[in-house]
Amino acid sequence: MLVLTRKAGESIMIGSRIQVRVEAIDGNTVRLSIEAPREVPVYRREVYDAIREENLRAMHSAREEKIKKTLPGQEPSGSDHSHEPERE
Amino acid sequence: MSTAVQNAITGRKPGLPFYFPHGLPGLEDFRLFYVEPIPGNRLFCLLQSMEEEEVGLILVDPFPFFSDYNVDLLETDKRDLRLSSEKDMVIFTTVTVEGEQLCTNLAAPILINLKSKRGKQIVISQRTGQMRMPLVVQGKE
Repeated sequence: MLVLTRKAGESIMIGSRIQVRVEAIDGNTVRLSIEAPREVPVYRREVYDAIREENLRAMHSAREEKIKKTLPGQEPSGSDHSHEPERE
Repeated sequence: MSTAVQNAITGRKPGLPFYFPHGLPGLEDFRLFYVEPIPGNRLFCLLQSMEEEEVGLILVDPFPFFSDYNVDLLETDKRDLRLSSEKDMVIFTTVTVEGEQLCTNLAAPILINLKSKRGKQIVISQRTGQMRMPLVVQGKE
């Protein structure tokens, strides 16, 4: 892990194509600008972690479902249109 | 059966997996997925990794449940998906089963381009409070 200190207006290069710049510092809030190739996604860490967590939970649910088969929406014998979801 | 589910399962080139250029957050190493039916189920389907049997996620078409739901794509998303027409795109959201309660993640929909066979999970920052939205399925009680 690399720890650097930067002042407002200063930048960091990550590899040759990603630049992180400190735009402004206001109290304990830092505004950053990120320049990166289009194909590199950039996320706030807590958002990324939360999505990751939900994906892993969904994976766990899928594994359980393969065993338990408790999902609604199961087709009764013959076709039937009574199991429509409620609209919010 | 939900049209989105039907379309995604049959696709335009059946049998070929969908390619996710970025994988999924938390599952970046997995790039090839099938969209498979869940036997006997009309509302949900399965995003199944071609590379690892253990890696699969339940998907649902969110629009029948959340009629106001909308997804805005950035240019970079359209490029990743090689999207030429929004008609080629199907939107799913992932499902978690929490005991009796089904929930879906409206903040990170999975977009699939049926024509290019590419997929991407995008993050909608305005919806980060909607990662576990209860799914209410009529007829369950």
